[in-house]
Amino acid sequence: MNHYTPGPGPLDGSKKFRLTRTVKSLPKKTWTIIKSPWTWYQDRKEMKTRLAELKKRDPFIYK
Amino acid sequence: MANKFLIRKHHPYDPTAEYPFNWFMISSPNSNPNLSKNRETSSQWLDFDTEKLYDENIAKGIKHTYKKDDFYYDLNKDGFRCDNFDTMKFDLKSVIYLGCSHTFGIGLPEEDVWTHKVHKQIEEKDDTTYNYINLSSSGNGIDTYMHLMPYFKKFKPSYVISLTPDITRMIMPLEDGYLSKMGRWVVDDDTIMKDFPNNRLKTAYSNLLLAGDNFFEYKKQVIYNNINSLGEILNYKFIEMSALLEDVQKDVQDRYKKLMEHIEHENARDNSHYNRTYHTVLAEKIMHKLKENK
Repeated sequence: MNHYTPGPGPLDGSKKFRLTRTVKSLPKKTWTIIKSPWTWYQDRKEMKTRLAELKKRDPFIYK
Repeated sequence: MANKFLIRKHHPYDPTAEYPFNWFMISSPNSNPNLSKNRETSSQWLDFDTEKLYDENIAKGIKHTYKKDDFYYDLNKDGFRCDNFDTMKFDLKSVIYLGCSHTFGIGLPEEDVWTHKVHKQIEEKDDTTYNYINLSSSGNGIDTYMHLMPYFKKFKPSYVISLTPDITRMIMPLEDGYLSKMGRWVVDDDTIMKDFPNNRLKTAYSNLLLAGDNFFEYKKQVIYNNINSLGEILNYKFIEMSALLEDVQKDVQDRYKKLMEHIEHENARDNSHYNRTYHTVLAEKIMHKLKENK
């Protein structure tokens, strides 16, 4: 899952622009925080599936 | 920050050293009483093939093909399962074998490993004697091939043969400079890698695994293109075949099943690596590929 959102850096633009951007991004950030347990669960599920696939493909381990 | 990288037991990773150094874990004080002059170290048990596991398997009711002292792992000065490099006759050409524990021959005596079978057949085919150079090690990925490539010129190879391990295996330097072999087992089960720090590298590797096979496939292609290009300069033939069961062509599986019809039971000493019949089939398949590549 790709969590990376490209966009202007924290110090880009005027003070007013930065303030507006921060306010505008608040709902998105809040929503990200709210749904983080779900994201974590989804990631974990995805990882489990991938590891099962890899285990089947390469069952050998090396300590 | 570490200024030098370590392989094992504080052995530095030094690409300018005379010969490469192998990763190995000796798990037994018992050594071969008939150790050849051309080998340096010997161990009855190595890496995952341990006496404890052998006994546990007996307790589970598993019948072993090999007895405990049927074979030893005889290693050269640099930790590889072949003769010492400094006593080899380098006026002869060589065959270099690359790969993981299957190529090293964990759980099998040397003569039963596919490399020996292939080596004999190549010598017969070309009617020449070649130096046998097995540069494999347990847990290897194709990253290690990059460690070994600088030495190819010295070994004067006619053939470089790889039984390619899973592409997701790789080497990562930890914060203390120790080069760690990474595989899915690192993130799979915490009990397997108790001593592996839960650090950003581990997270990065988990994310790489999650991102799919593209990254690893790309890396494999780059490394293999380099080996092939070097082959054009040094005049060797590069042959590779996947070691993975599901990637191995169906005809190998069918041939194996056919051969096993006449054999009641056969296993490697650690009961997890391929048995000697499978190695015979792998050798056949590799010879077939080699002849096809002419």
